[in-house]
Amino acid sequence: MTEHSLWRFSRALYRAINERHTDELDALIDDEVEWAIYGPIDMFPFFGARRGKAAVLDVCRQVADNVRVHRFDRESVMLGVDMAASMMRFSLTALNQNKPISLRLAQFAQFKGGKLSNMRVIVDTFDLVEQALGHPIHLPKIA
Amino acid sequence: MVEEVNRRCVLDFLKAFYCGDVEATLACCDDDFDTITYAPIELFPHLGHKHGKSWIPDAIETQQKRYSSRKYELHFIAVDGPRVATMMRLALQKRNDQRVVQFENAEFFTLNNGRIREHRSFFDSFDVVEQVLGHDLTESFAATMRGAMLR
Repeated sequence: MTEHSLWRFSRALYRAINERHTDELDALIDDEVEWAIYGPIDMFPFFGARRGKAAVLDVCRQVADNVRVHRFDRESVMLGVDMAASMMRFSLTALNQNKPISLRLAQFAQFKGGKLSNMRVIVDTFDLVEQALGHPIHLPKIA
Repeated sequence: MVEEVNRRCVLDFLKAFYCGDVEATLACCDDDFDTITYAPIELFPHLGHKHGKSWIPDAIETQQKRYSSRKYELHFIAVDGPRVATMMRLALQKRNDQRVVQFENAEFFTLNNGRIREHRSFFDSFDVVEQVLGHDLTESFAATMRGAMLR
């Protein structure tokens, strides 16, 4: 039974972020990959849309410059033919401030010939911004 | 076969929910329905963690009060046994200023006997807060955040 592309990609991404080894990741990304992490790019420059392998590898290096992953749990995973969706919970450290951050995100991936061709990541960004700021953002209450 | 039933149920749920058809939405859900939408509850008191099907008429009513139209466009669906995930683009037109709030929404469903028992949802909540409030928050925090994150 062949291993789903998601597992190979996830291991390679983890190594790229925590160990800064991008060789495996390089081999698992389609040249024409489309990639987007939805969120405020003024605050998190590695968010936003990228196109092409070089841009995606570069953004993974930016993530590696900013965070270290301590733990991640897949709370829900759906594997299809050449596609996968997962809901994940990460424990990270923001390296510049040595600040722990807990993050939940949704990952929607599509693969072509075993390589990542499309990735969409949706993050609960309001919670993330509050954690990165270190204080709650006061909002008006709306009934 | 089971996966097709589950896929159909989720598609029916989304259609009914955004049409405002309470009965049809309820028919897609298990009696032990549990939902969490990760979002600031000061602005979205109908979201957060809710247990029980009574959430459905409340959520539909709240959204209908706030938004004159609610449209969705499904971009991705994955089905794996009892679990279904969707990603869609929502467009909600606010009643107070007619502006359209648009965002990508991720939803994860776990089904039991062809009915939705668990629902988890999240979105780029910072962006949605800005759109709902009608003003930019980024500027206020970007300077602080630039110190926190390396370029």
